[in-house]
Amino acid sequence: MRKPKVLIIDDDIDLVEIIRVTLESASYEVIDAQNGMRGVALAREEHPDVILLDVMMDAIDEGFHVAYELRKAPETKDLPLLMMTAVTERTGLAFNPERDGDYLPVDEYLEKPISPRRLLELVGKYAPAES
Amino acid sequence: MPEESRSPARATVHEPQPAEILGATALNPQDKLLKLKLASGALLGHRPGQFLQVSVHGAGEEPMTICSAPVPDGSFELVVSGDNLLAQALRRQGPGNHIGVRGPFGNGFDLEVFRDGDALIVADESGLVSLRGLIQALRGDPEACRSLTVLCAAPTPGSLLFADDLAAWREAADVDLRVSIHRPDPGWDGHVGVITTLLRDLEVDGDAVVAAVAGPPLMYRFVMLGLDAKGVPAERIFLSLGHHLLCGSGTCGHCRIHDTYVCKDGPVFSYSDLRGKPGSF
Repeated sequence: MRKPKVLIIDDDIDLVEIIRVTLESASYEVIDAQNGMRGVALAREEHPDVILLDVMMDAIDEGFHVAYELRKAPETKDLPLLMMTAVTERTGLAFNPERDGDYLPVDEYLEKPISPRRLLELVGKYAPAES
Repeated sequence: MPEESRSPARATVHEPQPAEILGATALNPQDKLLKLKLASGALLGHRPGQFLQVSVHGAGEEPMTICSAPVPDGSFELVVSGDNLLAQALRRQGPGNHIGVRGPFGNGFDLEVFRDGDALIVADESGLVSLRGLIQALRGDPEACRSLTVLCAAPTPGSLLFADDLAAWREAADVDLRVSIHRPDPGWDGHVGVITTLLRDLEVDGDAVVAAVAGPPLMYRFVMLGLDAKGVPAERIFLSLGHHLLCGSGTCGHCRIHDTYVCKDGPVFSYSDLRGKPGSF
């Protein structure tokens, strides 16, 4: 049985490793990219079951543009996209996919920090792992 | 004409003045552009970004942003949109008819802040109504700014406002115009994406940019982040929050943002003045 594959796009190496351990312990395969451009390329090549996407990387709004690119390409437009960010804490600007329409085309929007339990719940919602 | 009758209008807060409709043009199936002039012959004396209280007898009164720069003949323009009683009444008006106006009200844009800067106009959807007069004013004075870039976006090609202006700006040597449609459309072969995707592709000197931003409420947060990514300081970002206006006189409280009334203290604010105030966007 193929393990569900999760792509993490985040430049925080420590956080990526924490998420990797959490997901791998729950029978997910994890791949990662540390910038948006690499993340888009990996999404096209690997066609993951779920993408976890940070916002503030090389640019403060990079994650939003990664989301636009992923939603534009036919091979990635339907992939479940979970945005996880501390942008509100940093800028005071709050975002919400239900309100923000074309500006925030993601399936879930999560404020960091995210507990391992919550992370597994949400990833499992879009790609259930074999128990 | 006697000099006193050409001086800027001095309407009291409570006294509508008759304004004659000189022309009415459909911008698209929903929006209509009215060209007007005060019946008294006085100049309106407005700044780009200010608003008028507009009324039709029996149909009520609403604040509407003046969408044109001051011109010597005293004419000014308004866009009629929406479908309430007043909008319906205004749409029925044609050349020679008169409507009531009070104002101008609000602060409008201070043109001095653009001098020696690279003016960057970010107009999403109906935001161009608030920013068109500023663009006209900046273009009308060769010393008004160092360069002028205009970003416009709309959900569909048909919802782009001021098609004639966009066509003229596209051909103009003094304007760098970039237009986008939010989603792919068979009738559009230009850039596709929300307005921040135009901003991302722009090469700017963040310290030299002076930005003016207007559009639907949800876009401001994304544009503020996009301008931050370009290194534009909050003090050099000016937002028109005309969408907050309701009574336009500081009475109803609809436009209150924390300790600020948009209609009395705005509708133009620097981002540095709004940042951190709950309810700004």
